[in-house]
Amino acid sequence: MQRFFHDELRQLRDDLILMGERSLDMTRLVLRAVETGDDSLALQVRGMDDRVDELEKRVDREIMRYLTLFGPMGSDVRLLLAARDIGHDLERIADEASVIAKRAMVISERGPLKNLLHVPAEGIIACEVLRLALDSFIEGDIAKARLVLERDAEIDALNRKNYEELFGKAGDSAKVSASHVELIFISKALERIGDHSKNIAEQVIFLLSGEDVRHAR
Amino acid sequence: MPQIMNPPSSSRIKVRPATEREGRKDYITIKDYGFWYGQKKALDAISLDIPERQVVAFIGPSGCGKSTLLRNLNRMNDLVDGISHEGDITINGRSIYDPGLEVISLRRRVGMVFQKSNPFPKSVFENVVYALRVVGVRDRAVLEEACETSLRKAALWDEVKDRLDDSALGLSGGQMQRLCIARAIANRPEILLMDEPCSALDPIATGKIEELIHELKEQFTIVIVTHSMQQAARVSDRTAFFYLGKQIEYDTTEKIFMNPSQAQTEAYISGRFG
Repeated sequence: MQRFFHDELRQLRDDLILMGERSLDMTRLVLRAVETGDDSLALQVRGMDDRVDELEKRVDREIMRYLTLFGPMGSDVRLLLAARDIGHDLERIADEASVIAKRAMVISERGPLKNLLHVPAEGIIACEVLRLALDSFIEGDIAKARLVLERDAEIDALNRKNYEELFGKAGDSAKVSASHVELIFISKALERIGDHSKNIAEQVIFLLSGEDVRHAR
Repeated sequence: MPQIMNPPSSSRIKVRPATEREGRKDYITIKDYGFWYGQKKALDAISLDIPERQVVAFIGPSGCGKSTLLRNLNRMNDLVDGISHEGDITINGRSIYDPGLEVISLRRRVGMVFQKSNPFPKSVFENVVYALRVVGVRDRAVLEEACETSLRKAALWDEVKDRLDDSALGLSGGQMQRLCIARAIANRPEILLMDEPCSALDPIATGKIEELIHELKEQFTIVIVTHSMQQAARVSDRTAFFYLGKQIEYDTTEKIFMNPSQAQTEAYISGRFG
């Protein structure tokens, strides 16, 4: 029997999906800002962060309300617990996009940077992995969630490659420009976006199967 | 760990004004209301406003006065010897103790559903239209329409439409309780009082009654007494917590169950009572 209060779970899911799409939009947009040096795009991304913060607070309120008032059981409990973590990870992704925007503006101020290392490729994969994580939640597709866990390694590898190519295997920073240091921070932020996408996928697996795959080696 | 302490004086009780309550006007106003069974004071300084077309739950431990207050909203306790009251209760601005107000007409406006379903030993049809017959309605078409409308509103029509002439006593417990709700709303009341309407029902039947309450609030103002805090949390818009005849706290249900203002309320809802 569908109860009247189950509509509130649908609202919670919708809000999480909205957060996810916003965070992905911010990530895509900020990558264009990095590649084109267009400050207006970076400023647009920074302006979008507040909305995601508000959505996170709304999701948290919805979760607390449902837990308190409607006595959830089974998969509803898993959805509420997973939603809390997913909401937090999506908010962190939006924060990382905002950080990238800030660093992109610093780079742009110093003049165009010809060698963007592997950051554009890393960004494309970060967006693909985030899309995959969101789809796994929206579609309830555990195979897509498991694929996210595998593909996160691709982002980690490119982040490492950026660092090694810039500083050399020994970590020599003497000849590295300030803009390239900013670029390394951007690479690290993309790697964090990959980690958050992985966290989301782990929560989707928990939601769909009850299996806790966090901290698996 | 919070402990139950002496209830606060009524002056400490904070009640939000109606303007803050989703723009709905107050329909029932209880002001400085006290009530005695003989020498025993059962209710003390109760003041609360119930907005129209909302569900308000009364909760509290046994003997706290919640059922007494509910039964006073349509003066059911007038049938008890030695009662007296102070303060006032108004419905849509008019005192229920107005000497010019007929108690029968008050009870027509304020329907009641009891803890134990009490269908009459008559057919399903005759149960629903009973009150209409009492006031003299004889037209079969009018009675049939009222019967169908009320049973539909009570979410029972589909289950009994082919056995309207069967005895109501053959229905299941949940169906009997919904029949009693249909009987109450056939009389076109403005307010429905429900005194632990699900306490004798299984979880499925309870769920159906709760769904019904959620739908009926579109048309009726509903006051429900329940021992189940989960039920109060699920179905009501506002909740009043009573203890030893006093109103401890009255606020939105969300506030009462998520962040109550009073330590006694917190202790009660979190199971640390006593």
